[in-house]
Amino acid sequence: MSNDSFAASRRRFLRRSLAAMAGGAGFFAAPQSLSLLNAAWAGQGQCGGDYKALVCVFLLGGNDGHNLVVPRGATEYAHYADRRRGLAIAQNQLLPLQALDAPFALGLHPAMPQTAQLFESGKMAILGNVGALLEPVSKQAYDARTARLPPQLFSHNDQQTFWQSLQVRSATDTTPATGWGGRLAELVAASHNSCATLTMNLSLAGANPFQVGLAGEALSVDTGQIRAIEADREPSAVAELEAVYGIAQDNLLVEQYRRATRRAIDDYAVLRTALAGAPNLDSAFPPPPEPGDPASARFAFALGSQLRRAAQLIAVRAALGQRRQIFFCALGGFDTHDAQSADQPQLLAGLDQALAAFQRSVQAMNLQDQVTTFTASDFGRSMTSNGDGSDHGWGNHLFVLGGAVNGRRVYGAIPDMAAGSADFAGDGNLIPRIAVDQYGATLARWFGVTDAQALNTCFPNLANFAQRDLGFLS
Amino acid sequence: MTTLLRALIACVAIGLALPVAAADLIFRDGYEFPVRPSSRGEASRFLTQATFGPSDADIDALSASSYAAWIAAQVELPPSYFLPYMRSQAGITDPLQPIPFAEFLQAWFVRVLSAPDQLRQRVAFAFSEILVVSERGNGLGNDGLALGAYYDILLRHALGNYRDLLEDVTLSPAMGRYLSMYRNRKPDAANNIQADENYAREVMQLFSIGLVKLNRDGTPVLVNGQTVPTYDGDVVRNLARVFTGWACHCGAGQQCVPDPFPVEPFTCSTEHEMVPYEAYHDRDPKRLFDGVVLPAGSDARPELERALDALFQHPNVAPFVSRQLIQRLVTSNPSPAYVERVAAVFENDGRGVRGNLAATVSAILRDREAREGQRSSISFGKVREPLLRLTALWRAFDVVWDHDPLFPDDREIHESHNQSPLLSPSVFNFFSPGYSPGGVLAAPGLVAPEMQIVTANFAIRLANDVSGRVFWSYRGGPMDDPQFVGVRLVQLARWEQSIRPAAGSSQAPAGALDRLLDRSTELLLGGRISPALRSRIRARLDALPADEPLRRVQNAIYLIATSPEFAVQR
Repeated sequence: MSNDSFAASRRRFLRRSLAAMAGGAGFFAAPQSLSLLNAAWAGQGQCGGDYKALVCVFLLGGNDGHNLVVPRGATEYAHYADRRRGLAIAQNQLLPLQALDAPFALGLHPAMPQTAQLFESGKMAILGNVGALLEPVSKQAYDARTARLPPQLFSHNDQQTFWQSLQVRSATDTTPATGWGGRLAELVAASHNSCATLTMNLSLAGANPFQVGLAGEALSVDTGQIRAIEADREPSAVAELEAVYGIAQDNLLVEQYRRATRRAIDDYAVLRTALAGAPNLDSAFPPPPEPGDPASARFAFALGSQLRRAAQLIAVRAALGQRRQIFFCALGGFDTHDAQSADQPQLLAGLDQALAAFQRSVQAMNLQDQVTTFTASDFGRSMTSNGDGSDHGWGNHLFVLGGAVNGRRVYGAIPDMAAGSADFAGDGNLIPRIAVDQYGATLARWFGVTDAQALNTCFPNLANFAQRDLGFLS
Repeated sequence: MTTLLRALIACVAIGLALPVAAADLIFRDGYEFPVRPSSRGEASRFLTQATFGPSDADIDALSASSYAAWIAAQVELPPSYFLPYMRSQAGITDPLQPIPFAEFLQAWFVRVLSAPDQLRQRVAFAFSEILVVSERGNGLGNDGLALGAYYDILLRHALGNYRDLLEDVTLSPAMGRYLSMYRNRKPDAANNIQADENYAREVMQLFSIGLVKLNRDGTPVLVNGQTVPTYDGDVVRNLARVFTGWACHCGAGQQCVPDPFPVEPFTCSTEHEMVPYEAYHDRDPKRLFDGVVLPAGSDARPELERALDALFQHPNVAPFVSRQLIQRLVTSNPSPAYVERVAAVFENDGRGVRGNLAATVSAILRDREAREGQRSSISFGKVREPLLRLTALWRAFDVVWDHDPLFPDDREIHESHNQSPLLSPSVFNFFSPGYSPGGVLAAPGLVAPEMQIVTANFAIRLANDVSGRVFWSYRGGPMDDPQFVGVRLVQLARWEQSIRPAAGSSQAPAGALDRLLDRSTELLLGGRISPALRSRIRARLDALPADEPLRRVQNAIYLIATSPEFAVQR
């Protein structure tokens, strides 16, 4: 407790100093005030030490992993092509992956050349057939409807929420819902971020269940200007407004709004000051789309601008007193019921450009071993075609990127799609063999949580799986 | 945990335990909610729920009437449709000529700020957030024709019948394209093709019955403590086969082909509903939820009618739709009893009609919880949607404009407000009905859906937007200039006049500043302001020079309209 209150008062002090600087210098404080501040906390032993960041890239809508990583061997490709028919990618279009220890040859979607290169250079691993599970599920149990399953498989919002929270909540549960990013942050905050002036969880994609902790939500960080309250024709009204946000309220919705805005004003002052010392990075990331550009340019910019801001926040981690950071980014549009063969390549090309740009930025800061990026999505998709698209599925293939990744490998398995394969349920859905809990726990262990009990708290279904660490991080 | 937070949670725990019993007690004592507003503030509260924001004139009119008479008059008003306006603005007469989406946004602002059929407009907007289509999806980009036609469907049925609304939505080209029922074909086993499940899934999950069985009061049915699913994957696959065989109506002058399923030579953008092509419709039997079976051999339209009937007759529809409409119009956390009273009217309007939306909306707005809930519950109300904050501010101060086309900043309203009509990021709307931001709301299990889009950056931007509207964009102000075409201007002159010192005086007329605050509080806060906020603003006005009455008016409005009290409608 005493440590907590010390840390809290220290945070308040630092926040005040930062806010004062921000106030004194308008939009951006002078760079030297940053170094003063760095000096202010660097003297504290507990404030220094190793740095790590986790970056979640959520592909909203359910990315079709079956066309992301595809069997390329003659027999396995034939099985794939037979199942997917009109949705299948031509064998000679696939980007070959020389995966270590893979049972058969694999290829990557042709829209992702830079990602293929990251894989080949050992900086990326593929997670095969990951999905929402409470416990291992057999084909027999699933088909007989006796398996214990996460709530509302195949529903977008429910599966996004389960993926990010890993909680099964009863209808009468009134305890606060939390996400595993939020719980993870709370496990390492005291030991790593006691000098931080902001919450560990920073969202570049707005409100999300992943980063909700008992203490509240992530800070949503704008990808553009970090604004202050302004009334340029009546500047003295700003202080009045801010004073109004100091008046506690009875109505809970009003009070919630008041606190959220109060926090936004304070935290954005801290951010403005810190980001004044950040590199611009504009030229390192995909530019805004121009009229006539392919759709991929829009997707590359949408995700790239989030990752650019994440890279800037990583660059100013010392000014924020953060030894641990968790970022949430998202790209929408992956619900390809329609025109999948036209749309998914554009989405994946955008993803490819944004991820590669981010990885280059991280390397330029020489932080490649300390920043791990991982992808996530609502669910995989059906193997069958609906004519020109695919429907909601279950198991999915994901990426993990970074210097700490034991790369150029597939963890889990890309299933053989032969008729009668035990990986596919009777309704044609791919049954996941790796739980999101295992995926997350492997990331969390690398991030600094080693205690078995703590991991079980953070990942409530982990205890139901034998392998607690999938081994893709060292 | 702070003491304040603990106290608040304790209050809520008590509040949650009490409402039903307390309400019964009130009624046993002969209490009845008023048939007409008891004050201008009460009239303003009602109009905040039923319109895009009250003006003084609206408050006067309602005060001279009754709630029921006002609603009845609104229901009778002819709908102010969008497409005729959009076409006249774009100089288009050909019903198949594309219309830029910008015309839709302009139509929206013109209609919600000035159309007389405010109740219909407000309910249609609510439905645009329940039966969601979006310009950001599946080829609907810049398709003002398809999206304008869709919004006109919402307007046509907003105070009509939910069954009609559901059918016209289902067969609209906009929804057909958005959720890919358009050119959805029957399964083809030889080619491993299944029917597209997209519309089948979302019409159940989002547009009619939801995921779990509900009691009439909107709470989930529990069996051994567990919720009960309304359907499973097999039902989705069966219903997907119902919605097969529909393609675009081909009009005169279009490149009509006998079989549009392989290739449609034009974009399906028309007011005409989709039409069936039986060769692509699945004729096998379908097993739906709760034992409903659709027999083999049915044509596309009769089968679709039966499936929609089954959805419409499902016991979930009344609480599912009623609760969401309450959330969009009145309060984020309605009591189960409130939901049940409204659902009962949805089920039977008193004349045996199910799905009567005028009756349902009337029940929502006239319910004792809508009219009196703010007095007894500290969780009553809803965070204003960002767009509704802006319309409320504008309408309160008699917004005017010289040219309908929108000023460039307002054409990009989503940039500053994180919301723009028919621009949701997905079919799940801008925010979820179950979203809780945590904090003081988390522990009591309460939701604040709109907070999902009022993230940190937008909390600041929404406050800064008020500065632009009040200090820049008023009649006679710096933005009232012919070079700024389309700026919406508030009118502050009469307010300024009311506090201008009389000739020879250095003070505002006696009582004028208090009247200014009273009237502003009526318009923006439903007549209720915390003593702390009021005294701060009053002190601020006193500190500003009396001979700058406009500045005083602007400061008063600015501080109210940026306050957390304005951010929540109660």
